[in-house]
Amino acid sequence: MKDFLKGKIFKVVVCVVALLIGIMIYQAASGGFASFPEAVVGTFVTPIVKASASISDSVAGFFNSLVNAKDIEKENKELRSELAQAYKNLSDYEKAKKENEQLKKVLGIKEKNPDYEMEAATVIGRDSASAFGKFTVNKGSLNNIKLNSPVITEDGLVGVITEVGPTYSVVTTILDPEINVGIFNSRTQETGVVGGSADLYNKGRTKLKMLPRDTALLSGDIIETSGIGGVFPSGILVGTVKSMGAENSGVSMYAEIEPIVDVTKVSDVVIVTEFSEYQPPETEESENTSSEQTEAEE
Amino acid sequence: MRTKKMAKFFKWSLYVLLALVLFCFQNAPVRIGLFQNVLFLLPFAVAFSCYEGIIPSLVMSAVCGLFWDYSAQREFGFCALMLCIICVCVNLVMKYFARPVFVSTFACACAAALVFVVLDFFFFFVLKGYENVGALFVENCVERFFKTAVFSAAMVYVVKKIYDLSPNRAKFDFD
Repeated sequence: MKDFLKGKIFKVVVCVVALLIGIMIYQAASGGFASFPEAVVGTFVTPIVKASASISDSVAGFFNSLVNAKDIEKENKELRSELAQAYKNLSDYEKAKKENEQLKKVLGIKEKNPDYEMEAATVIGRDSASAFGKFTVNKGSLNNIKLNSPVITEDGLVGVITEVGPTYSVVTTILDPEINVGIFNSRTQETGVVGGSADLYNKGRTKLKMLPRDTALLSGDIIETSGIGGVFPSGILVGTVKSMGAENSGVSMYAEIEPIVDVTKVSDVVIVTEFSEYQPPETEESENTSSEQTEAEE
Repeated sequence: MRTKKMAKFFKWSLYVLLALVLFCFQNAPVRIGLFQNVLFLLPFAVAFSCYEGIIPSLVMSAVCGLFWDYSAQREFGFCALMLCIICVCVNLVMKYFARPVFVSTFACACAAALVFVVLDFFFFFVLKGYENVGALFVENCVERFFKTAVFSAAMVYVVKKIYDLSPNRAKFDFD
């Protein structure tokens, strides 16, 4: 024992203990920050601790999944059904949102034209070989859709219903030569007929035919439906005049009309199922006549 | 025996599924770029007729044609009638005059597309007396034919692969 106490090993032990006590006192006085010795030790030990932690997590997870398999499976089923319900709610929300947007458009048209009875519809089919942009919509006779019902959007005229099934209808657009629309220009007070043309179809334009040679129409004029014929209500925008030209016969003129609505790309439309009877467009003569009548009554 | 029946069922299911998918493509309200103005059902029906028998060809072309009639909005029955006649003719040609290899099948599909486009144009544009139909033919019909011809190459390949699933398929040395 005396030999041990006197030997080198004892001295080394005492030095190490003193060092450690010193580090402890120094650490206690450092106020929460890592002291230099601690930082050195930490730098070397931290990667090893991380590796061992990940291994222990994996092992614990493996055994945990075995031990708590039933609970985990139950929780999985509950979460799956909650997720499915969330997806369904999202889908219902999207449908409601789309229906809301459609109805807003219908409301906008209704406010401008309170006499219209309308049905909102969505384009469900447009064949790649279809002639002149014909398309199919998702409303039919069961929704009170009738043959020759006008089809419009909030912007303007699209076409007319030419075939009605129980749950679908076919719309022929104003680019089709078989459709003729009576039109009116408020600036020049001129009337005319707009119909499709085979050579203008690829330009996306339609043709205003049989204009008099001394027509006052100019490029940029806006034309709207006149209501003559009773198929289309009056006052619906059709398009703008893009260019003028002489017919082959040389007797009359024609104008190329660019439709307000791009009928080849429209996705939501409104079908006018009923509207009030034909009302002639207001002209200067009719305004003078009506004011004279009012004065006479007074 | 059971395996053969299952293979046969699987093959016909694939045919039906492919026809439905192509119909959806043809009738989609929105198409992107190159897929506009392409006849999807016609090359499928022709390729089918090249490989299968005359009765299945007749039935498949009639069904595809009726689906097409619903979407094309021509006179109802026109597309079905045209497809039936074309597919029966193609089937007879393959039976008596040619063999259903890729080149001959592709040639038949292209020829069928050309015939259909021309007849469609004649019956629904020329006979109706529209003005300046020449411009429409050049700008629409020619484009439709070429795009359909290009699509036919892929469709012939796909139909051939489905036909190869058949347990009783005819084997040709030059396949």
